[in-house]
Amino acid sequence: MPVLTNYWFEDTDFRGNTQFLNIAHGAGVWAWINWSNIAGTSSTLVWEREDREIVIDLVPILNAADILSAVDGILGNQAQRTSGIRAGWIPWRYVPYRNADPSRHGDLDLLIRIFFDFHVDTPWYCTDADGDISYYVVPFLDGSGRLGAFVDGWSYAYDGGGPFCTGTISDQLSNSVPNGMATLQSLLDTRLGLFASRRFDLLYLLPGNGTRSGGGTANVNEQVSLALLPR
Amino acid sequence: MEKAKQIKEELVRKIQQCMNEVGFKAVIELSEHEGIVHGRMEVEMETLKVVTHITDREMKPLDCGPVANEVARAHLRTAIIRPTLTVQTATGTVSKQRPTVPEAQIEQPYSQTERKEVR
Repeated sequence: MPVLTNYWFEDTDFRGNTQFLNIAHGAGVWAWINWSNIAGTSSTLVWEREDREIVIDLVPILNAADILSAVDGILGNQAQRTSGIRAGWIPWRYVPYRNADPSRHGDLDLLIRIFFDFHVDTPWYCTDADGDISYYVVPFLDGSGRLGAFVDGWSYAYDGGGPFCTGTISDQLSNSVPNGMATLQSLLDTRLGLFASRRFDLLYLLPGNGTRSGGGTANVNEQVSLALLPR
Repeated sequence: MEKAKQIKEELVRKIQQCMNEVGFKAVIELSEHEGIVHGRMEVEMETLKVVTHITDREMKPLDCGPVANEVARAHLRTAIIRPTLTVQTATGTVSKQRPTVPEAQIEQPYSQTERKEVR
């Protein structure tokens, strides 16, 4: 029997901390959704999930040893990764480089923001810097139903490095982070090769790990799953 | 550009010389846009610290950028189905109609969604 999954988001435009509830739901009957504690939420989505759905939780996959090693290679000796990799959805409207090419995507098209924290040691006359580096990925199905993905852009932001070291830090990051797009694209292409022989009718993202039972909380900014309907 | 570079180099060396004359072992860090002269000296149980910074720009601690337009457009030409919060149609036969977000709500993202108990 299909499952109806109800999501409540902390922020408008379906972002932030997310509460969810799954209920079995057959056609032609009401869906009972009793929410006793949904205060502080600003947007909601409901998805009816078919029995044939395949769900891929992206965070464990992206934290595989070879991917972490490749990501550490992007940073080199300039900075150290200080967190695991997180993967959330972000509507195009909120992607930081959107204004460089606003018509590239629709405002509510979803990109996957793959990101992690980093630290930069600095000389004694500056504060150390801490921030995050992000890559924005678009998963898709082509005309034959084949799964693909491409790296659409990058960003970084940090605190610290003052009063004199932000120039040097930003120079290093503005050189290494964009170059990391090619590394990430190569990793994606390798992983997507596992699906080369399969074809799908539909692709979408789900907040959290995409569980089909019970309820709970997640943060859609930091964890999403890729859902596919195979032919 | 060349003139500014010469001034920067001359300045950091003079500052270093000045600091060294009073006992610092001043160190120069020089790059295309930055010049730093720094040193520390212990004097009567106190540590004196001097840092001089010369720069020709104001750097922000953030940056971002898209992949080249031609690369993105090439991918997007083949991307028939992609995740979106707007209405989309599957490439093949779908088993039943999916719930969609009404366009009116999408165009007014900051209006509060009315919360109801559904029975």
